[in-house]
Amino acid sequence: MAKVFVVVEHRQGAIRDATFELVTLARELECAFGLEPAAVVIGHNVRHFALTLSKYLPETIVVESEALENFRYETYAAVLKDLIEKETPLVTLCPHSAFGMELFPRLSVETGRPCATDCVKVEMDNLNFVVVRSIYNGKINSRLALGSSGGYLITVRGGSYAPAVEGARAGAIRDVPPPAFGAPFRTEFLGYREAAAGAIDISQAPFLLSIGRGIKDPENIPKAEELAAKLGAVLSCSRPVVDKKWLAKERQVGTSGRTVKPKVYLAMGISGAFQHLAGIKGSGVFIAVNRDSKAPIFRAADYGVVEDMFKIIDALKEKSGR
Amino acid sequence: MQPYREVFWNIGYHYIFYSLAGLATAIFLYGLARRWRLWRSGWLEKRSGSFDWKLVLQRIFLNASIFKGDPLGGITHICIMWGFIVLFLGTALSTVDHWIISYLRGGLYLVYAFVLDMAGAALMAGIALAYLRRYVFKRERMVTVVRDHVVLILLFFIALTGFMVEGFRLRAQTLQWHEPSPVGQWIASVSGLSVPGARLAHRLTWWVHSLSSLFFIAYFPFSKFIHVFAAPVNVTLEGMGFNPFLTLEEREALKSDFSFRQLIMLDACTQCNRCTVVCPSSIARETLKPRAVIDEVGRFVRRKSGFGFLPGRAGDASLPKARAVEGDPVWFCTTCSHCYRECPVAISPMDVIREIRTARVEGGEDVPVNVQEMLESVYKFKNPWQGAKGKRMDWATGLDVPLLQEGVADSRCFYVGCTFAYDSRLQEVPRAAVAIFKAAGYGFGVLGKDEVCCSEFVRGVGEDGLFTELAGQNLDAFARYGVREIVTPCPHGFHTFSNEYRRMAPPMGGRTVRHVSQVLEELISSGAVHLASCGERTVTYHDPCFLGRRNGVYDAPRNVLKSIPGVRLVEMKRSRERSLCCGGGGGRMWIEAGEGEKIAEIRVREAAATGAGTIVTACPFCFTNLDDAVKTAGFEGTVVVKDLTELVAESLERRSAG
Amino acid sequence: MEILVCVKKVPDTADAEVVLRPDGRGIKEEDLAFGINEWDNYAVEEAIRIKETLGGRVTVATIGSADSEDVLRRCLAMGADEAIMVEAAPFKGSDPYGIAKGLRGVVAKGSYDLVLAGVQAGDDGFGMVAPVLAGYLGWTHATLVTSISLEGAKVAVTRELEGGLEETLRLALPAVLAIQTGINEPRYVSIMGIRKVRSKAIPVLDLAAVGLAAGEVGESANMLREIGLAVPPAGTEAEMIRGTPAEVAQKILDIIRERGGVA
Repeated sequence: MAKVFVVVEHRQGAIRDATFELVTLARELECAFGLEPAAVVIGHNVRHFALTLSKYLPETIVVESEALENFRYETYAAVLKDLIEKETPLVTLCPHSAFGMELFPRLSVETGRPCATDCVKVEMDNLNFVVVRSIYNGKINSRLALGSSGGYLITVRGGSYAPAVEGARAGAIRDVPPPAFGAPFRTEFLGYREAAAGAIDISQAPFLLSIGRGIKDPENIPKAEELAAKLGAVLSCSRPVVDKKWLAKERQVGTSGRTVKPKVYLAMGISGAFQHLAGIKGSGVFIAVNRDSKAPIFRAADYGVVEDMFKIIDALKEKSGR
Repeated sequence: MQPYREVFWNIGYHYIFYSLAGLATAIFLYGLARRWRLWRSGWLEKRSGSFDWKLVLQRIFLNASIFKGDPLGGITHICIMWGFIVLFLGTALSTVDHWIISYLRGGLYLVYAFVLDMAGAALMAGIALAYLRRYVFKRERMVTVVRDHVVLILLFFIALTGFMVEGFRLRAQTLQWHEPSPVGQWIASVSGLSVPGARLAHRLTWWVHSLSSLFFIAYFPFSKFIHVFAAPVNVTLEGMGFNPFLTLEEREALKSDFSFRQLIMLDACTQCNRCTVVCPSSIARETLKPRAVIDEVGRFVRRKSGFGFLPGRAGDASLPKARAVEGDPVWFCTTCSHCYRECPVAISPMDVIREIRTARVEGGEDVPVNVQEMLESVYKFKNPWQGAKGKRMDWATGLDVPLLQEGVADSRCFYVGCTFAYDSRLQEVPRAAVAIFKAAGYGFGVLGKDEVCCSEFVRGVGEDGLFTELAGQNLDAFARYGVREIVTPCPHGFHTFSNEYRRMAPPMGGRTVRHVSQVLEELISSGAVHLASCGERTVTYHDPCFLGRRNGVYDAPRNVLKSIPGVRLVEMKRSRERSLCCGGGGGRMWIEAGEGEKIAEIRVREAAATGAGTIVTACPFCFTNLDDAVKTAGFEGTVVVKDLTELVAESLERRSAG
Repeated sequence: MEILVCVKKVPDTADAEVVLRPDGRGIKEEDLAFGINEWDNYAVEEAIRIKETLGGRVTVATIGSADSEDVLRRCLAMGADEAIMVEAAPFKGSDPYGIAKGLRGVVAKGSYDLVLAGVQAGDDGFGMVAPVLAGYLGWTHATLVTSISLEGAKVAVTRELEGGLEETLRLALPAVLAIQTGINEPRYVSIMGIRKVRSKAIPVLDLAAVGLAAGEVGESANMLREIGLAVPPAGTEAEMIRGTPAEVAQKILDIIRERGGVA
């Protein structure tokens, strides 16, 4: 029976949420095409992860070794290559994250199996995979057929599938020994580093006023700050604003910034790049202001305004009592 | 015996004097030569206009530009200048008389003596007045430097000792005529010296006077006195219409940092500070002071070329031009040209600043990040606002605007401009213009998506290469569509089409360029459009620098305003040529302002002080800056900013509505 | 230190309208502004900074045609020493594997210690070329690099992870690094600067020069085959609030108050 593997992504003692979205996809493939899903946990002292995953999938494979304590493509690719060659899963899934981006393309070359990255949808057609990817700043969807192969590697964009819920059954856990790591390592993990911690923690703010490239000029930041103060909101932003060093990194909402779950998220001048949207969670109300009616953010927001953000800023300042 | 003056009377050791005189003259000529060589190291500008002799006459001979706004300063300088010149001529005439042909005799000599005395008196009075002006009347503008004292005191001393020599001579000589030298005679009478005493005093003061004069001659070309040559030369070159515009190929071939004329400008400056007093950046207390720029650059140039008294002292030739001025001041210039306008001797600190910007931009260092982004946007998107090409005509949605591509009567191009095209508030202006043109049956067409940035301020920040590329694209488009006339609502486009574009290829030829205010004036006065009142309002008009001061269009917009029924026009204190810049030119829309009150806020305050409820602008940058300033300076609700074209269109609409 | 930087010319689609061609096999390009891929620009700047500190040479390469030359010249004007163009025609429609094969050929022609590229391209965003190229070359690699520190025969890098976290790794050279935006501030390049390098020769390599045969790259050789482009479905679009700014602002404030944010 053809198998689908879900590589479990974990870091600093916790499984990353995206893993559970992959479980949903794996279950979909199980239902639709009869693939047998299994989770793959790689690391050191990761048995408890396996226990967690066993509540979601019928099988969890654990590969443990001290050398696997911290993620490096060199070791994890060797492990997965060995596993894939032994177990021959039809498809192996991984989140399109810093982990997946580092590992899977390289693994693709090591195993000779095609890899499609950052997919928002995965479908099958006669044991051939078709994926959908979002390109051109989210304005076009591209369908790709993966060339015929004994196995496929796919990284999935976060938020493309809903996170799975625990199943009733408890699955089996199987240990697999790691391969012998032959030659001396050429990579070395040195450590983690938190981005400089500042005074602001936007992840706890109930009301965020978020600005993006539309702010155009650092001279306009005080306008946004004033409005945030007036509204009682905390100022946050998207990546380009931080890249230009107009606001500190701690104010960035997005995959490489902070994840937020405010009651109100008011986004101005943000186009809606996926990496930004992925940082907004929870069931709060999402209002977007952008002068481009085709901006992808309008697909994600609850309410939209097509207007010059500065006009709205001025009008809000006037109307808000304080 | 005929009245005359015996040269060297009572003086011996002539050979010492002549040797020293020879030495002093040699040093003088050597100094002049070194200055000249320094100036000539600059590249030559090309002439564009015809000779303006009136300018030369008024400024050089009459010091008219010094009198302007400062009559006391004018009197001071004209006394010193003509006093000095006459005395110098007097000495020259005397030398000719002594060595070549004796003609200073009799009546001529008496006139000569009198005139020289008056000249000396004028010189001393002028210098005394100068000190009074600086220390007693305390003119705020004045900046005092030690050099200035040396120069003035030396001259005063020479004039004083000259009179003393004359006085002692008259006391000691027994002449058969009355020499009409009032000052000399007075000194002679109050000297209280015996004849032998006077002879001794005469001999002593003669040597003191001579030596100080010779020192002055030798010192002349190495000191501030060089302005005596540099200033008239600069004014003359100005009068002849020289201009620093270069094509890209010419700029690439340059071997020197500054032009011949710019180098002369640096030496023509006497640090009078008029430029700084009117500079909008200095008014807003930012770090830019045009006078200081000229000073710093002058020092830089002299250091780099090794200019100095000692021959062969090598300067640091590796210093890049970008370092001529340290720090930010270079980026605060709005290119409003008020400094150039105000300078009595036609120095343009604005041009010198732009030269330095070209070096910084080319080197890619010390360019403010936003300026960099603006330039990258112009390069990539052909406009400074990262506006997508496909959206350039969004302002015209629903308006049925003719495209030049489709052939247009009169081949008249309405050049919209990037800011009017992409800014959602300002899009109202080209819409208003189109409404007016249609109502008047005035033929026009637009370039549509082919319109690229006029790039005036791209050149203003020193990116001549990018400017040339984009200008070339516009010029190609004009040629392609057989454009014969260009009308634009943007003064920056208006300026650069009228000036730099005319020196580029493909040639502008006979194409006329007009600002929309000029067209509105014509349409209104010819009756092609009729205006009705939209209520009584008092307005004040803010002259955009690129329409007014830089191109002389002051009246057309005012005439338009006066033709709108119900509109009462009041003028700000600083209007027309003296208008205060809004702070938007020279790339300043993309440069962070200094701390403190912004230039535009100062201007808005001035506008509000006229009692007008509306500030009318005719430029997208002026509009944006003043509109922002109305909010930040707290005039929201009291004063509103409107564009001229919008105002006219509003009056137009009412008419058709009822 | 010999560094190769791989760059790509891409359209800027951030604010532009993206419209499919009538044949559905691509997008309309006429109104789009093209330029160097943003990530690659950071990579070029980083390479030049390394050269300025440690000495060495920087070569930039792209798979492109005559109209990509301006991108290469811009890199030369920034301070790169050499530029190489690989003829694009055989690579038309190539997936990242095909591109990486072409670049492998470029690497083989030199003796590079370090290859830099942007994390991903702004148009298709695969993020694959750099790690795949490393795989083909058998070199070490790191993606999402936010800082580089060369230490003799090794390089220490910082990688950007999620949530503001970073990790540091040490890799043995030679290595392929995929550079993340924000690693530095790319310098400005003036037109005059570009003109100064206009006479620099840029060799154009054909397929054979990069060690490939016809059919090894291009659409027919793809492992990832594009079978359709479409505008994303509207899905649950936002409810649009219309009106004057004042009216809109009032509605927004009402929504905010209703949902618990005090305004």
